[in-house]
Amino acid sequence: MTEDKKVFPSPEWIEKYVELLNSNPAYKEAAKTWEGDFIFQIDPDGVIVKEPIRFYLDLWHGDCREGRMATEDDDAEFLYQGTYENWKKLLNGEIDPIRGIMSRKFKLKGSMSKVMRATKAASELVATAARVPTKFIDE
Amino acid sequence: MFGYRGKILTVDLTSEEISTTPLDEKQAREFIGGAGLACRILYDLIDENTDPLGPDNPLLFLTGPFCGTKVPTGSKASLCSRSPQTGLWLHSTFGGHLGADIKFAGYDGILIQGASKSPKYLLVEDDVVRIQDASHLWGTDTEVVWESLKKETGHKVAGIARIGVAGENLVKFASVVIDHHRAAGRGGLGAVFGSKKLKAIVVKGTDRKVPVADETGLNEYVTALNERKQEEVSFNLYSELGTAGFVDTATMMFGSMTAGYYQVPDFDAYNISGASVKESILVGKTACYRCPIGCGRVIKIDEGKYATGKFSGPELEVTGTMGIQLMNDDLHALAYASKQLDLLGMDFISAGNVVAFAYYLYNEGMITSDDLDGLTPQWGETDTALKLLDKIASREGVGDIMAEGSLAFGEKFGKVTLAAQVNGLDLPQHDPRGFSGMAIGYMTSPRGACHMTADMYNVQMGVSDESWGVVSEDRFENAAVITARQQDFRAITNSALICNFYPILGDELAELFKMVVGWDIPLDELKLTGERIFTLMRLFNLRFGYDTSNEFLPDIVMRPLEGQTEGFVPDTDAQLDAWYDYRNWDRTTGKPSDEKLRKLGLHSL
Repeated sequence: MTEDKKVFPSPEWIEKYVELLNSNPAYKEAAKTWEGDFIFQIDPDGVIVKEPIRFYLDLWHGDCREGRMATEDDDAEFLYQGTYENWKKLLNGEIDPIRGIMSRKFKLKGSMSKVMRATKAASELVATAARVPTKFIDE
Repeated sequence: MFGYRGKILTVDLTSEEISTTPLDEKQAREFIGGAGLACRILYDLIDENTDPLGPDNPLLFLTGPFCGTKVPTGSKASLCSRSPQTGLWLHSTFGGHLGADIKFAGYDGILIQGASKSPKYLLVEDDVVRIQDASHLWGTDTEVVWESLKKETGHKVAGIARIGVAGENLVKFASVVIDHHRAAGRGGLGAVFGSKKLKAIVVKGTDRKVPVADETGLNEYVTALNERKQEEVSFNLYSELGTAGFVDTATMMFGSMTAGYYQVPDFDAYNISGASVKESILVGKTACYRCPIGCGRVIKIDEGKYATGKFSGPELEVTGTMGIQLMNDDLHALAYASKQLDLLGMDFISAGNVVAFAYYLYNEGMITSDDLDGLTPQWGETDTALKLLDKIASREGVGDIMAEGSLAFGEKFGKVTLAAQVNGLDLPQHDPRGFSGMAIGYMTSPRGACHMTADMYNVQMGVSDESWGVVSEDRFENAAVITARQQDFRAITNSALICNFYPILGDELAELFKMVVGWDIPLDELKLTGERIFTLMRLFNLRFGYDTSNEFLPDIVMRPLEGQTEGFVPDTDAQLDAWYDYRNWDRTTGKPSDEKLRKLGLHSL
């Protein structure tokens, strides 16, 4: 059976991600009190990515109310950013999202304490992303 | 000499002679300042016959070249001596603004020798130095001393170091409390103060301009440096949550806090973490001089049994010892205990550990309430701990033996291997079963179980410095070589006195030396300097009979645990083998090789 792989990042990838997130009971339970939106940014590396690529997720009480590609003008409570190479490692489970921040592979802007109170929700966010059948743009 | 004042103030409390000694420029280049240069200076003043609590044991406050300049977090200072708790080398780095005041008064450091017959305090107002009567302050807590001396001297913002009753009573882990509840906490420096009948020192300096080699360059570099660091997680973490934010980080990464020495079951620290402090009792922050992070917490609890009023809030180590180690999740009780430790003037780590040790021995049936003056400690309650802290500080009843430290307390009951200590210094809140590098770090630290001479918990959580060869991808790997490199790196930062919480890199340090002092130090030379300082501390300790038989972890931290440490127990022998091999030191005697000493320029010592 051939999997319908979505290119990361793309509107199709995000659409699939939102679908999986909203049907994930573990995420729904872990994030039931979470209120806050995110911008995930892929930083330019001059090779694979020339300009920043951003996507936006509005997360509210265990649901993703909106997911879409974002522009430079979009703003959110949290910004999580890293290079494409590191995003690939994150989605492949080779980098833990928090260890990634500690080791300077990713940056997080926003309230540390709020994120740290949502450990399980953050884990489910990443675990769900890893379940999206993904084709990377350099493959 | 850019960055330095070029002289050390020397005060003899026996003869009441006051003088200054020129700073040796060559030594400054070789050992920088702070812990490193202090070790070199005290190497000539301390030997195996020096009683840590005798008049011959000197106390040296020493700053570094960045102190008083714009270098972020660079205005800490070091207080050094022979430790009464371990009998070994002791440096304790402290924040606040006392270091900057020493520099502004025109000195790089203050050397205190001899002992007074009656209580005194030292008052330094630039070049006017006086030894003042402190009889009226003897027996008072550290807050009373602080407030009294500000009023008495008329200096509301002077740097003030003082001891509480624990120091007066020569408690082996008495601390010296500095300014707004910072401390030279470890190793018993408060007892050295007490042995000299020195209650406090007050320093007010007025020349706030410390000359630097390249002022314009430094200003630009510091602005860019701070911008970079503000994007780093550790900077934001400590700024937003204080050091107790480590509890939140460890919980997020590993499922719970990673230290479990005395408490048997796993413990959920959610209610006492840095985030809980922020959400409930936090009313402000404090920062040391020229620190952009501001990890100090100001809390306020006005009502209830554990009302503290407005005071400094719990930091990581006390959260560990008076919270996690006692299985106490009452944040108000924890904050109250933290304040009590500050007022009495005791090291949060050692005082808390010896109390937790008593809880453990009692609850495991190894001692009875008769051994604890009728007290019956129960996991989760803090009132017994508060009573024990009072007893320790006043050396009353069981407090007298507890005041000697957990090693002595364990020896009294035949349970020495259950005391969580190395060389008499209690383990901080970074479990060597959670981070393998902490095992070799504790075993080989020049001052006993110390987390500041090799913060491998940071490294093994992902904080790396590739320029220094410090990268660990696996927290359970044999990280002995990486730890050795980190020890050398921290030897530099503990000498230049950059805060461990400011995530500086080796090549950035080299730039700062160039702009502040005018030294062009290639990274390789800087690494050699770190190694030289670390090695000198070993030479210092060898004088006191130190050998490798001291280098082991006690049984209490060698039992596998379920949960966050995943049953891991470090292979201490394998780590020691790799560490000695890398350092080219003798595995049996602990001595550096002649070849190594020659390479480091230490062969004549």
